Amino acid sequence: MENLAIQLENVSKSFKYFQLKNVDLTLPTGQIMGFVGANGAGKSTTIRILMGLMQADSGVVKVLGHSQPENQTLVKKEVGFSSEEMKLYGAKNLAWHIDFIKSIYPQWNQAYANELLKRFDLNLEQKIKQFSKGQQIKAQLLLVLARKPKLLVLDEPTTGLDPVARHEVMAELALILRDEDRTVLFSSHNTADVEKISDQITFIDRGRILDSNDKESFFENWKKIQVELPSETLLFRHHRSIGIEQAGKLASVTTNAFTPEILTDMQKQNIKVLAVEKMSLEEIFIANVSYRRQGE
Amino acid sequence: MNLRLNPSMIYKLTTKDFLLFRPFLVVYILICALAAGVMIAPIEGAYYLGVILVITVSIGSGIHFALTSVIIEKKENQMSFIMGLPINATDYAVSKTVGGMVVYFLNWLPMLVITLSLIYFSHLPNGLIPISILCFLQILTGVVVVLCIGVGTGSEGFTIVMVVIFNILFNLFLSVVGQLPGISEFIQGNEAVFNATFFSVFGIEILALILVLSLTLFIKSRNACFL
Repeated sequence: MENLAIQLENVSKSFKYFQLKNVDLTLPTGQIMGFVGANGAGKSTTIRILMGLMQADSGVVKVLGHSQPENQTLVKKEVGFSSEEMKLYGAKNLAWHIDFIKSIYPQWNQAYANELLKRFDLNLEQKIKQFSKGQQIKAQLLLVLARKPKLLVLDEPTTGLDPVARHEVMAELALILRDEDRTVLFSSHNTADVEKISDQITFIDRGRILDSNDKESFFENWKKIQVELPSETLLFRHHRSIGIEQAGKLASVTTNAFTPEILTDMQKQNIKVLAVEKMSLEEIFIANVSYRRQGE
Repeated sequence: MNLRLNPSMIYKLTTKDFLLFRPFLVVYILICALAAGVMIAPIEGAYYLGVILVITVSIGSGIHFALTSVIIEKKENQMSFIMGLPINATDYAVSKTVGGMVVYFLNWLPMLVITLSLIYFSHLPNGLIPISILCFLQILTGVVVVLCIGVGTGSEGFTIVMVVIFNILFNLFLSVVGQLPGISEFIQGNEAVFNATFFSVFGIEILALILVLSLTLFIKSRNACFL
């Protein structure tokens, strides 16, 4: 059986105004998963449950083979967790934080921490409150990465950053993650960030998992087909098409199960295929959300 | 109920809180020494002014510590950073209540020793020593109650309400205990008298402290998770 770093089966959690519904999520060891959803989609709730910070109402939660939340102490020794809402102690400098974390994690790698300090261009003696938001996030990442976790869970690490800082953090993160075999769950509402570093992608919306697959499969399966119709009659939705935008004889058909047979079928119906376009992850995400919301 | 504790992490979290509070701790001890110095100044009314200052510093430092270590840590999302460490909700609660009490104790004890020493070595009657000990113990208990309310509710509002109640109750405590025959009769005396009344009040304060801590930890240990 494949080694799973994260295994969520049928996990549900109800709040007054929000429900996480029957979430199934698996992340094999060595993979980087982008967990994409709009604000309030349930990303942070899912992550809090898998970190053992919050108890699910039902379902099975296992992280690195340990059930959660009962093994949260054990799990958190092996998992590096950083979230957008986390803040370090402003009155203290980075060296103080490093000493604190080093005293907790015996596997702390000082040589790697020094390398990250250089890469991130951080000053050990500078107080955290004097850091920019981007530097604070880099400091948090350093504290998490240098403890050499078996699993890295990053909850919206780039949210709230200006475009330059976001680009810097993502570039560094992409480099670091490429360095060696890592298992990472990376949540974001920013599809560009996720596209850059993920092998696997999972979409979540309104507390439900919409889709989960490897990145390449998403790009292979999701296409936008530009066609010219023989007449201006409205084009009916094909069983493999999930969205149609039509203006006169011209139409744009979105499919989530692209095969060359779709084009052959269209040609048989005198539909002229003008182009088959690759969709960006953002377009795939939006089309996916709209399609599922229509069905609710 | 979650009774599996991680003593090593509780110690590290408590040490972390101590290190964060240490600069203020030194300042508060110095202010308390000055305030206690006012008590023994040979000026009319200085004693009462000094007492008010000592009480203000000891209560203020406790409230400062309780609010920063529990409420502000939560409000400024540093608690999220702590929650990601290998601890459970009970470890956190123990570090903030028992650990918090220990950290405040390191502030409280020098203040008590300074105050008692100044009373003992000055012209002030030694009869003031027992009631001073009871007042300081009452302040320690009050600070622990504020810490427990902060940890138990996680609410800034409730904790501030508790601070107000604590101040009101402390004034009530002063007037009630100060009028107890076993205490009031000996305040002006040259000898510190530790009689049954003193030990009764002392025992009640210690019991209250243990009860509040136990109740808070019992309630928090029933939570499997932080949130």
